[in-house]
Amino acid sequence: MSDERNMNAMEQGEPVETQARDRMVHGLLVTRHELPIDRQRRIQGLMQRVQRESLRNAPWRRVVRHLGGLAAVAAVLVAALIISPREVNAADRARAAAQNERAAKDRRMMFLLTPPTGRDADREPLTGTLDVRDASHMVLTLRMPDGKEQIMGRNGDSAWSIGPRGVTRVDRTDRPWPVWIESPRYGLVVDMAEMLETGLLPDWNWKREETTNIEPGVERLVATRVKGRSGEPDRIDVQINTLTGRVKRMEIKWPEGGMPRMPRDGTDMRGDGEGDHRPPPMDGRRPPRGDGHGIQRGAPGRGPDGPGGGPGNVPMGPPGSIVIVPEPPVTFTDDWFTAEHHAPKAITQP
Amino acid sequence: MPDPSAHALFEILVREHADRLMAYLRAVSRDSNTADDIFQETMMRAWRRLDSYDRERPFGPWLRGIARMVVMEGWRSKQTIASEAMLEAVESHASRFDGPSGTEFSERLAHLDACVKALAEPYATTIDLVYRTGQPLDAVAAHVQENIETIKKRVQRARAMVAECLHRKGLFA
Repeated sequence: MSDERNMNAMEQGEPVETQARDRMVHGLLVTRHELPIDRQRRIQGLMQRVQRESLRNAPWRRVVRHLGGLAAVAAVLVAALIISPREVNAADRARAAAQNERAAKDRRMMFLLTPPTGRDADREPLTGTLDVRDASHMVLTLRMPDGKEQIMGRNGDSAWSIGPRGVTRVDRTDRPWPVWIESPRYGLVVDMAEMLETGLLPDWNWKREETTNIEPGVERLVATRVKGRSGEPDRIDVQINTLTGRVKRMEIKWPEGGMPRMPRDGTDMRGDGEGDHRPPPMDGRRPPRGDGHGIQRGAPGRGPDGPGGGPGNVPMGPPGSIVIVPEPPVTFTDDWFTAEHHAPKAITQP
Repeated sequence: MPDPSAHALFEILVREHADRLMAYLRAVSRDSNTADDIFQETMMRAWRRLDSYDRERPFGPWLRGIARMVVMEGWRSKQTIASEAMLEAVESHASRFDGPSGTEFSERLAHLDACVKALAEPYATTIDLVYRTGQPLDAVAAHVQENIETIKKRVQRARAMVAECLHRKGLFA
């Protein structure tokens, strides 16, 4: 909304009361026409700040902070020494960054998922977080434009999902995840470390973007795929802090038109799921093979809380792009990757 | 560890009151970025003081009280309307627009829509171009082939008519 310029139309030199009425109407009109995604970003950004501040102020953090300060300084110096030679090539830079990302046991990333061009182009981008310990321990939280959340997770023993109505489902552990999270060929797409390593495969070329005007102390590397299959990402654009060697931002793009899993029914960019193609429940309350005991086991459905290839509205097919930003260091509790931790009230074991 | 229930409560309150607060902040700020910055600062202070919030009282005015302090403390004061009289006047409209406790903001915005819809031409089109399509005034002027000063006056006049309409409906002081 161009309210800066529209402020020029404010009452000037009028009595305070007149100006106040004018300003309040202006504020209401701008708010009335704000895009939901902008509102969502504002609130999500705030809640993440709140979360970070809470964690910073937790009593145990103060102790860790004292002990961790020296270790962090040492790590930065070591990282700087490792990556400081000016002439290392872009692939080596990417390799070093991948190692740095792998150094943390637990990682949390924020992402912004943009739909592909074409008929999904008018869909709003989705935001979310991915918590990763390793390929078998992950929790994905996807925030819908209406503010509701869909959560998917797996922990080695089980895979589960929680829909916006809080219904928890248990799935097979080998059940495919959306291709923008996990690709059969590339592993965890949304994990920065894994994608940096993917870019080191022979079918990718790295180069350093010298001409791009980005902030000082930040190096930009771009990997483009020289061969591969449709429906797979074809460009990785990464910004690395040259002092710490850590990734600041990563953008992964998919080729236009490479959308083999787009459904033809015009629903959305969900994939076709796999295994069970029975009609989905309309209300999302009774997915196929549900056991009616809170935890529901079984095959895909497409109700608001049904997987449908992914739970509810989780897009399964290739997006247009995904932007990933690392969150501050985090340590997950052992039960973090269980469904019970995220929806304790929704779970009753049959 | 932070109390998850406090987080959940706060997020509910934030979601419920974010639009109201942003409307107020946009009224007292020079631009969107400043309003956004004050929003973040206000909400963070509210979070830190959540224990002192009396749950028997409405959250909106409490939040605006904090926002007002942020503005008055001179935080980016050049970008805000720090005049006490102006803040007082804007507060009176914001408070009236809030309505009784429990009123949905979306219901109030529906009244705003009705007032905009009731505007005669060319005011309705001008407001639509400026706010719904988000075009700057010079682009609107070019679009309707008018002088930019004419458009400025038209926007002011349209907003005054909307304010009058809201006043008649009892939503503005």
